[in-house]
Amino acid sequence: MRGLSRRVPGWLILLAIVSLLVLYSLLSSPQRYEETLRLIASGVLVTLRISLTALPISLIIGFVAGLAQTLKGSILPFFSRFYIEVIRGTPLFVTVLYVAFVLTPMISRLLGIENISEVARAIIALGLAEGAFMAEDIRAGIESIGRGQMEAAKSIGMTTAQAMRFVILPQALRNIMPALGNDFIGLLKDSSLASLIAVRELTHLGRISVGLTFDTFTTWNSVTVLYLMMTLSLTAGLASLERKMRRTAIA
Amino acid sequence: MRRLGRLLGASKDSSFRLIVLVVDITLLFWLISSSPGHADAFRFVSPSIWETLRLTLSSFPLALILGLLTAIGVMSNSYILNSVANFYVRVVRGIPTLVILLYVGVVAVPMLSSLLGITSLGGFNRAVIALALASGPYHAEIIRGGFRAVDKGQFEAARSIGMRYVQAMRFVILPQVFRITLPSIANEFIIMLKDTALASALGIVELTRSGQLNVSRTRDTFSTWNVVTLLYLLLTVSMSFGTEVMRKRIGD
Repeated sequence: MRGLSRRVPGWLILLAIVSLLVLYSLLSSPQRYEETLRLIASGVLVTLRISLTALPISLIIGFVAGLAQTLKGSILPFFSRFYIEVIRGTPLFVTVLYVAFVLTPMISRLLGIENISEVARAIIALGLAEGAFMAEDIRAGIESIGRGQMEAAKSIGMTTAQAMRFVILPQALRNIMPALGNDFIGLLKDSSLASLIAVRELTHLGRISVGLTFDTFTTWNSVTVLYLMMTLSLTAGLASLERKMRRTAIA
Repeated sequence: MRRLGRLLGASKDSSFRLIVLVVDITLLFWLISSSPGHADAFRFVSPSIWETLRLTLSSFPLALILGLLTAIGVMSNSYILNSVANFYVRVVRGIPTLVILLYVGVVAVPMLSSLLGITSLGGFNRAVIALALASGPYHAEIIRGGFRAVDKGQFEAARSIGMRYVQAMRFVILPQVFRITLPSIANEFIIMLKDTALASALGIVELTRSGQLNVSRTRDTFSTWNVVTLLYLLLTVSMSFGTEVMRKRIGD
């Protein structure tokens, strides 16, 4: 037991046991799971597509809002803080509803665009919401770099923009990476809220499947396992990436 | 302009939150008094603030207890306790809160009640259990961090002047852990309040659900979601303002 515990964390063993139980339940009633999985499998792709499209949007928003906060002495930090405070003070569900039913119809009326699809509305909402959280992480990362770095860069004749680009940001990015990775996992989980505006992602297809088969047990087990597979593999991938980055940083 | 920027942007957190709060209340009053649609929406949705608060206040203590137990499990030397606590943390953190709510609400609670042969819980209690389960790992993380932040020497010193284990915990360690974790725990309370919006998926008529009901009643998405958003902001920002003031009181 002692030797084993040192090599394999116990929660992983428990996870393996639970996976075996799920596998057993799958093998004992394969046709039920086959039907459910046929209904919900395409949702995994939609969930991934929404998260991967919202990621760059939230990164851009996060960088703009995060950088704006470090420009002390101008009016910019005020707007940035206001955006962050409003988004963080509102439930994500309400943000999604607000963007889907108030903001995007208004934009499409103003710009004269034809109907914006549900998927696009969900992506805009998730990008806006997650951007606020990334902005906080990016601000913290930039502020973690000592003020002396900026002063040194300026004293050798760099402008503020150059110092940011070549001195501060490369160092800050390394500190921010783990936090941004966590934000991405959060984004993937939050994409389940798109189901509430009828985007056909994993959670929504789960609800449709329950409506068709009345089999809540099989459906929600499958949905949960699929989410866990995505998030746990992402966590493991990010951890190994972080280790690799730390090794190159030392070398 | 420069001075204005410094006054607004670079000011302390508490005064900034006060500005947001004032803007929020002014906007809410102005919209209600100037547009009948907003006034109607406000009359319809505002009573369900109580349901939102009831959900939050019921699930928060449960989440705190769960978090404390989990933190003890994660910190313990027992292999089994440690594994169970870590398993709970990893799994729950890997699943969206909405899916946890649906899983607890329509799979776990009905199955357990039919297994144990007891009458099933109502929707409200299911939502409370699910919300507490979902936020337990975050409380555990905060509490663990609090214990780690208290220097080990404090405990040893307390023991060396003759305090028993329980006394050292009660009079020396826990007061410090409490003070360190209070801001983060208060923040979790606000997150809990926001997560109650998801309970609408189990059919509970709290603020968000009554907003949806108002939309299907009046078709007026603009006024409804304006009022709902401003009401949520009123709740959360006044709480975070309160947290900030409290933090200053306890001298942090």
